[in-house]
Amino acid sequence: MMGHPFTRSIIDFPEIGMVLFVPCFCIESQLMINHEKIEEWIKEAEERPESAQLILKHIANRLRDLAQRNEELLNENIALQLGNRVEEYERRIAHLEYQLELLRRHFGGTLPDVESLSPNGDSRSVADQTYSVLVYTPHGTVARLLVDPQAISNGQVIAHLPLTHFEGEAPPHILATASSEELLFVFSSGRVSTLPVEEIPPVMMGVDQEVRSEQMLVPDEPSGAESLVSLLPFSGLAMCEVLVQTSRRGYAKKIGAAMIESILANHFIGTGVRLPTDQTFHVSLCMKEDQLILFSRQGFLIQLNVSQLPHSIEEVMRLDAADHLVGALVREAGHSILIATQIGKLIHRTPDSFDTASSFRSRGTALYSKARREQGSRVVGAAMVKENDIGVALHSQGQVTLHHVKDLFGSGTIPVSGELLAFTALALPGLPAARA
Amino acid sequence: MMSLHIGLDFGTSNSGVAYFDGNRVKLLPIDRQNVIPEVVKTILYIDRYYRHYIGQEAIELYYRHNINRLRRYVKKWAGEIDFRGADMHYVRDVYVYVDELQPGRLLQYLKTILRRAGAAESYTGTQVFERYYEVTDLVGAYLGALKSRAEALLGEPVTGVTLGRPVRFSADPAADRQAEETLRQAALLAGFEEVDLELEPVAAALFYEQSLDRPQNTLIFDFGGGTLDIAIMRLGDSRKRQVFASGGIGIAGSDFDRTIIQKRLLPHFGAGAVQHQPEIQGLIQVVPDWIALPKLSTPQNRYNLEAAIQNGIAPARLSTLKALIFNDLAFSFYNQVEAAKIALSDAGAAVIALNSRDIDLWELYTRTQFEKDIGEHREQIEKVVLDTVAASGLEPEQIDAVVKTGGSSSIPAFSRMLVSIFGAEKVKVSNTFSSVVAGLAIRASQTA
Repeated sequence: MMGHPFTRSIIDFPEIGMVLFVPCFCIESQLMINHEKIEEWIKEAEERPESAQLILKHIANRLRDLAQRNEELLNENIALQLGNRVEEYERRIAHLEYQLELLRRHFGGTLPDVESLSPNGDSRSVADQTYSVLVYTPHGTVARLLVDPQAISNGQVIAHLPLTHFEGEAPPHILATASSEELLFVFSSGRVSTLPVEEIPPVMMGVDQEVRSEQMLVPDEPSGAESLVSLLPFSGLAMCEVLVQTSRRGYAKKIGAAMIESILANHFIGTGVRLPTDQTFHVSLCMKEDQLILFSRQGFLIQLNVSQLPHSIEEVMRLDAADHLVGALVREAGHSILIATQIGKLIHRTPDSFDTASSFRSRGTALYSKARREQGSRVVGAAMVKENDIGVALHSQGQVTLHHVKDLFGSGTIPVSGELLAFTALALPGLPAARA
Repeated sequence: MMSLHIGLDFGTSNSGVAYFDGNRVKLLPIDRQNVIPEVVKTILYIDRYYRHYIGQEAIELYYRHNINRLRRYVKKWAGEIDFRGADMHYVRDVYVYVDELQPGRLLQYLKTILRRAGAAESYTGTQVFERYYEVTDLVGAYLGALKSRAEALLGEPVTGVTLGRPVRFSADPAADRQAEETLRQAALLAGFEEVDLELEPVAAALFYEQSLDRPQNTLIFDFGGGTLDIAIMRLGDSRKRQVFASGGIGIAGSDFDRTIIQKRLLPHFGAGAVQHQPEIQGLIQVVPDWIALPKLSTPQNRYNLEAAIQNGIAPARLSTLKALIFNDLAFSFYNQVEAAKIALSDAGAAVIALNSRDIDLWELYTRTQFEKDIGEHREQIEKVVLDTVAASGLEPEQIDAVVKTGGSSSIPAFSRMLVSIFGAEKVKVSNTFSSVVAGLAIRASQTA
């Protein structure tokens, strides 16, 4: 058995008529299996021939495991050589860079130090940020109105839009957000696309804030039978763990953040519906431990734990045949909820005033009495607000009005010409004391 | 409901419990998590709520509570030292850093503290969080846990116990008596109403003695997990039983486990491959010490290991070390080593393998390698055997029988050693893991 060092990796088991060649066990002493060790195995086989079979069995088992692992590594190598992995990594890097760019915009141009962040994660001051109100219709038309938070008076009309809202058609929606935001366009077909707010030109207004219809742009035209259902501020993407997609008929599913890259690359999030007559309503950015609050047109509210939401589309709120969702908000600490009806009546609630639903498919909590519901009270919008925020209302005559939330808390109503079509709020990081 | 008397072998490293029903001895599977369920490690773990755990459960909890846990060291006054010189005298305060988030205390070598409790360097007890545990409290807690387990297995209350005791706790007769009395008090504290003691070698030889038709000079070779105990006795006539000599050494199964790790497994964790990194080398050298390992799971050590891995210093091996320290694998690792050592008593080769995330350890270990690794221990043990024989005043030829018992006595190298000294016909095998406890169980049934 003794011989030249380089032949030591041959193990001879004469008693069972086998020679085992151990090719991949290298000869350097620092390696796990070296000459000295192999020599000791041979010595054992020589001293006790019955050990040879056992040693052989152990080595064969190990070789089998290593061979299997080797194949896996070879497959991985081939994928690397073919560039599949490189492409995958490049895609991941591009997505991370995109998220970083969104974060940069979210924080107003530069990524701040942790210490400089305000509790709600927004380090911008009112002075160095511009804001936009976006009014959008199911046909894809979007009007962007600039808002100067320093010069707002209560009830101010900032635009008079030429709206043609047909009976039975979904009304226009409004979104108020920072101009540095990235928007996610969600269409009823499940298609999505992204566009920075600043790439939508602001509308030019004439006297009395009149906006001509040709100034209403269509940044991403819905194709075929699809309609634009939601615009979503998206720059907080890197700071969310799940997306929750809700449908008009009270169905929902959650999508892990890991899927976002693929959703954006394929421009498709899924229709998010189970019923043929249903339609995607909204997409919310959430953390796993958040609570999602849904509002229905007929004045019901339900609060759900995001952690308990299903990954496949399921009914989470039981709605009447003629009812549908009009709001989906993520609960935020220190905020309260302002809900507007079509006649301008406001309902103020704190999230603590209602419980989280323990099971799905319940109707939730009624926001007002059955009598008022039968009289025709309907919810048109809801917003998570703080006292310093600005309420934004869209009226059926086309006016877009701004209101200090603090004043709305006091009055409990928005003066309406005709009906309210939509209501939201513009969250401001903090207003100067003089304005407040 | 009848009350039962059991035999309890309270060993330095391992203990066991047995019950004799008049026909046969039942060895109780007192620690189902152990490699050998009939053997329980003599280890006591006391958590912050003063709950007592023994055996593998104690070890497992100790690991679970300590790996990746937060630590907060606070400076506490421990006492003062008097310095006295020819022309000066001053007192200095002594402070120690105590981890105030420590989740529990692990105590082992309870039998050794029993020996020390009776000795001049008196050991009276220890502080565990806010309570002071005397030696009787510590031993009593362990015996109490064994009693509860035995009652659960037998389904009946256990009121009496026959405990084993070494031939000598101490060379000083007063200290020896004190240690025996402490053990007796601990058993009473544990809830036993009747407590008897029997010499361990006598218990080990009980089977053998019953088969004798004439007195013989017998050497009992009790080689367990923690110590080797040797007694040379005149057996065969219980009225004229005589102990010629006793001896022993603190080398046994757990030392062999440590040796295997030291000599064969440290390269898997970076030994030899890591140079000029004293803090990493220090971590590697702690791997053989199962008690110290959980203490390594500090953020600083994690940072050091990750930095070394990032810098390409034996990254695969240091990842293995990191996984062992931080992934709660130490328990499996030491069990694997012990199982391989036991397997080598019957087989020529065994594999020590640990496969988990970031760890793929595989070591084929043969009996030849094992015997080479413990060669030094073998020489020490041979010397102790010869010294004890010499102390007995007998020549090896005058020893009529050698009765070997204890897990480590089945290691072939030691069987060969005894055969070479005394001759093959004299070496008898008693129940490997159970002869002491079985003998104690028989004695318990006789005294009940």
